[in-house]
Formats: sequence, C-alpha cells, structure tokens
Amino acid sequence: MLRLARRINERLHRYMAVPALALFAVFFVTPLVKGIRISLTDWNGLAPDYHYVGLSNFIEFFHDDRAIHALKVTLTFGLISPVLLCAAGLLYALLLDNRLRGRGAVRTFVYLPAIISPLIMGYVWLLLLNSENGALLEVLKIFGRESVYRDWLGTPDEALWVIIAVNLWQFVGYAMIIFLAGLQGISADVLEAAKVDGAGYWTSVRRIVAPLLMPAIRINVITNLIGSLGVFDVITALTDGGPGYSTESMSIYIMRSSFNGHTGYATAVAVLMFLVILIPVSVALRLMKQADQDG
Amino acid sequence: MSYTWSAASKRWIATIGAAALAAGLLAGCGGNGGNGANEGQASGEASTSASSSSNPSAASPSSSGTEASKPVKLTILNGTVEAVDWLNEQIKTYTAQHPNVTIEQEFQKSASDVLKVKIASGDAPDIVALAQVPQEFYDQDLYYDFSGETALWDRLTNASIKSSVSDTSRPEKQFYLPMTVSYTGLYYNKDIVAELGIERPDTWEAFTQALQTVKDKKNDVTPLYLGGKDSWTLGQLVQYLPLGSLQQELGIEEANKALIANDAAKLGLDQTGGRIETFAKALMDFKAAGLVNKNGASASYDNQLDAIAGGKAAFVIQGMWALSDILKKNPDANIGFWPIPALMAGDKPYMIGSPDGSVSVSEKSDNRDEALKFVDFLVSADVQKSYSTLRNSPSVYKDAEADWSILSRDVTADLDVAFVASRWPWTPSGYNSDSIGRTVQELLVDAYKTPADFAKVFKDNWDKGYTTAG
Repeated sequence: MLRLARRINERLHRYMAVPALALFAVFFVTPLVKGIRISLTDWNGLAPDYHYVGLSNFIEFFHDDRAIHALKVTLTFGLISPVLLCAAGLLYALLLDNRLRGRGAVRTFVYLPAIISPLIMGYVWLLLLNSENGALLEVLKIFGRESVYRDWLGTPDEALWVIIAVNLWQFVGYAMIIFLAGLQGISADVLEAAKVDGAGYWTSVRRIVAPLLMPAIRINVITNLIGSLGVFDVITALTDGGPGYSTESMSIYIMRSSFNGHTGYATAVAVLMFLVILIPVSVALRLMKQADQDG
Repeated sequence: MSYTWSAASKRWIATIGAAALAAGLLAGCGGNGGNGANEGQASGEASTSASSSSNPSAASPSSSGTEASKPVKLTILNGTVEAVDWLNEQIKTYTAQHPNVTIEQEFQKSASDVLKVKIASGDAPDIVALAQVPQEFYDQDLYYDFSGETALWDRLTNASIKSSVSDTSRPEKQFYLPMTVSYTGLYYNKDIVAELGIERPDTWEAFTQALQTVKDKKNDVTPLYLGGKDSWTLGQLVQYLPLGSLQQELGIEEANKALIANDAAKLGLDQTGGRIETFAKALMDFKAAGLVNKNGASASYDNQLDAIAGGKAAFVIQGMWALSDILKKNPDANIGFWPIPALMAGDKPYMIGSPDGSVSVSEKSDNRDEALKFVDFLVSADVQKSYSTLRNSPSVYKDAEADWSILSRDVTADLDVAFVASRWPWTPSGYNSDSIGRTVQELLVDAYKTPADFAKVFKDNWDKGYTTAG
C-alpha cells in the first residue's frame, strides 16, 4: 500500500499534466490535424462532399502572385516589427528603470495602448489619419500646414509602414514591461561592482545587462515574432489589406480565400503559414542560444 | 526511470508548441471538415440542426406547424444596418401578439461571411434578412422555396418581379421574398447643378463636361466623389457601367446567362476597346483631370455620404439605400437623382431597379413554420408600408403603397429615359463586387499603366473567380 502511494506520488506530476495535455489535444492538435487533412482537398466550406487533390493547393499557392505578395507583406511586417518592438521596448525600459520623476505615469501611458484591442486601436488611428477629415489633417489645417499631409494609408508603398508604426506604438509598452521585469531581476550589486571596476554606462549595458536580460529578450523576440507574423486586426482596421492588395497579409488572404468558397486552399495556406511562423522562430531561438553560449 | 528532457528538446517542443498554437488557430478556421454521417468520404459538413418537421407541403407562411403555447425562439441574421431598429420594432409588435415566441436579431456588417461561418458550424439562423445570400446556399436547398406562395406573388406591383428574384440556377424557384425595389443612380447637388446650369448628362461625354464645369467653377467642390476604401462601392461601379452596358446589349436575362457561363465571346472582358478597358480609361482620365477626389481609394463610404450631404461633392454614384443616411447627416440636403450616364456610345443612361430587402427562411430549421409565420407578418401591407418609407424605396407589394421618398418624383422621371435593370449583373462568387472593387482601388493608385493592363488583370481575376466558387 505504501509502495503504491509512493509510486502515485512519484508520478503525480505526470498525471497533473493530463488535463492540460487533453485541452491542448482538443483545441490545438485536433484542429491542426483536421486542417492538414482539409488542406489536401478541394472543399468549398459548405458542400457535404469534397475530393482529395493531393498537394495541388500548396502548388497553387506558389503560382498565385497575390499569395506571394501576401507572403512578402507578412514577412516584411513580421520580421521588421519584432526588431523595432524589442529595440524601442529596451530603450524605454532602460530609461524608465532609472529614478526619474513621473516614471510610473510614463510607464502607464506607454503600456496603456497594449491593453486595447488592436482592432479598436486601428480604428482610432484611422480616425486620426483619415484623408478626408482626420484629426491630424485638421490640426495641420489650423496651422496652415495641410500641404505636409500625405494620404499615407492610400499609398501602397507607404501604407505598410504606417501599419508597422501603429503596431509599434501599441505594443512597445508590452515589450517594455517584459524588459523592465528582467532589469529589476538584475542585482544592483553586480552593476555596482562593474562601476567600481571602471565600466561606463554603455559598457555595463552591453557586457552585463544584455547577457542577463537574455531570457526577457528571448520572450520578447518569440512572442513578437509569432504575433507579428500572424498580423490581422490592425491591417483590417487601417487599410483592410488595401489599397488593392498592397497590405494584404497571409492571415487576411486566408480569410478571404476561405469566404470565397476556397476553403481547402485557404487551409493549405494556413498550414504554410504554420511553417512561415515556425522557421523564423526556430532560427531566432538558435541564434539566441548561440549568443548565450558565446556570451 | 528518468523523465527529464534535454534543454534542446525542451526548446524544440516549446517552439513547435508555440507555432502550433498560432497556426492551429488559423488552420482550424477551416475546421468542421469531416462528420460522422459522412466519414470515409471526407466530408466538409455544412450541417444545420436536423429538421424534425421538414415537410415542405405543410409549410407556408400561413400554415401553423407549431402549437401556440409552445415556446419558440427564432433567430434572425440581419445585414442591413438601417433596418436594425425597424426590425426590432416589428419583433416587439409580433411577440406581443405571440407571447410564446421570442425573436433574437443579430446584425452583422459582413453578414454574408458570418452566415457562411454559422452554417458551416451548424448554427444557421432561422431567418436571414440579407441583400445577397451566397448562391451556394440556395444550390444546396438550405432555404425555403417560396415559389408556391401564390397569394404573395399576386400582391406584386409588377409580375416580372417574381422572375427577377428567381434562383440563378433554377428559375422556377424563389428562395427569398423581396420587400422594396431599390434604385441605384447618380445623386447630385441641386444647388450646384442649378447654379452652373448643368443639364442631366445622359452620355459619358456630357458627364465629363459636367464634372469639368464643376471643377472649373467651384474650387472647393469635388466633382465626383468616390468612397473606395469600402471596396464594394468601386466594385458596384463596374456592375453599373461595363456590366450594365452588357445588359443593354444582350438583354438582362441573356447577359446574366453569359455572365454565369463565363461566355468569353459574349463578355469580351479583355477585348481591345471593350467595355472594361473603356471603364478603366474613363476612370484614369477622371483621375488625371482631377474630376474625382484624389483619395478615391482611401476615402470611405461614410466620407462619400458626408461629401454629398454637406455640399462638398457635386455628384456621387450610389443606391437609394444611402438616402436615409444622407438625410441624417443633413436633413436639408438639396439633392436629386439621375440615372447613371451611359459609358458606351449608343447606350441609354442606366439604373438598377432591383428587388431589395430580401428575406429567406432556413429550410432545415426546427422552427421553420414559426419563422414562416413571422415572415408572413413582415410582408404584410402595413409593415411593408413602414419598410418602404424607411428604405426610401417603393414597395414591391400593391397594397403597401406609401410616400416613400423625397426622390420619388426624380425616379419616376428617370424611368422614362433610362435602361432599368431589374437584376444586378451577376459576378462569380470568387470575384464579387468587394474583390472587383480592390482591382479598381489598384487602378486608382496607378497600379496599371494602361487601361488594357487593367482589363487583362480583371479578366484573369474574373476567370479565377469561377474556380473558387466551389
């Protein structure tokens, strides 16, 4: 009896993982497996029947100019945004980790946008940037400087950069909070010792703070990569993928393909998007591991 | 036995888990693939709840398939924002008379997309009040066929309305009931037009001249205002102009057949000097001459209505559905309504006067008979009078004649000179007016060097739209 109790006790941690694994299986693994199955069919999303079409949906993706453009938009947004978010978040965190007057208020203001839905935030910015009666244009008019205004959201080459900027403005606070938590975990003694040894501020940041912040950097990079590569809401609110298809990301392309009765194909693109997320995340992890070892 | 994993394995599992978490959600969007009833045949079920009372012969708006005392809950998916309050009022009146019935209205801006999701997830609403139910739902007999409701069709102001709401693939069936006839045309600012002495422009040349006059003499007024961020507004321009011209040449039914069959010879979509190319050239010329707003691709439908309501635009091309919002923005707006000038030489000016405010009932609903009774109430004379006034459009029912709009006189005069299409030009479901509008957005932001480039892309997208129709 005692042995049985001990055995149960030893294995308890494994049993405790069962509910979480079950939920993961039901809500993530099952849809993923079903999704892969549907990606091999010509299902239109409604008809009771469909046929297996092998890999033709995947091949079609690479022959569709619009799909390739959506892939480029996704990669541009998904790779630039995390870099900017981490850099700006770190700068804010370093600045606000000092004893400055009003730093609590600044932290709150910087973080506040992150708690609002990206869709709502997108619409707020749309009201600000609207080319007809947006707040920015109205303010410029007051100062007689409306010639400075450009219809950024209506210009294909510029709209994506506006979206990246809005996304940066919204989520920089989130990155900052993670960095701040990391900074506060660094012992003041270590920094003090470095100072005594003659290290300047930037030397301390580069040689001591950065290596000790690696866990926070890792979390920021990975979460921002995943979030940015799956971007949907902010684009929908600001440009709806336009003008034309110039800011259409893969997730918007998937939704439209699906609603246009091309569900098998849309699911194949979703499976490809899994790889689009997986590959940069894996590369980032490998690079950070290497940096860890080198450091 | 040890259960510890190496750090590398943990990292890999965490990576794959995180990516699976993100991609699983997206891949799962297409979920509901197989179903028990059809396993082995890889079934993408569009299941609705099983009908226990699906006896078509017993179902009619006047039949009583549900006992009065039995509580019934009906759901309505509404895609017309202007009708939300009106529908709530009707629900209130109806449920006061039928205390056992509760009716829940859900408004969705993208109602047709939401409907697809609801049907695919087995949550089809009992009633759908939607301007355009996707054709595939009718093809699968998911909606009640009203063709046998003789008493209703006898009430129509014009017998041809019945054929104009016939199913595209099976003309003997009518899967929805119309409420009003909605006209689309050219709104104009009466004050500006009178001041500049502009006459009704029936041809494209006359229209161009009218716009040029506005530009030359009214610096602060946009001659023709486009609200292209809402891409459907641009997609509809293609339906009114080149596809409308096709209806004039072939006749409405023949044009529709050619559109449905994608009869390349009759459509001539990429033909040199053809309708699509002419449309592209017209828009490019307007843009180059400053006759449309510079932000035509990024200004919204709401901006467009603001512009005509506030006298900042001389002309906008819109449907009668926009009138109530224009008057809300400016109750004193002095506006008139002309047919859309003919794009092609030899054509008449064009209007669509098609049945609107369609209501469909889910054939597979457990509450189908009760839903049909509510629809019977909705199309009753008094209720229809109020709907006609709300929508600023004439009712399709003889007994529901009302003073429907400040533009009713204009429309009566327009009908004498215009080619009036009783059906919208058909578009493939994979290239609907929303998608077509995106191609026009590209035209407005100079993505095409020549009108022929636009016509080529349009044709490619159009052809592709058939393969995605499912």
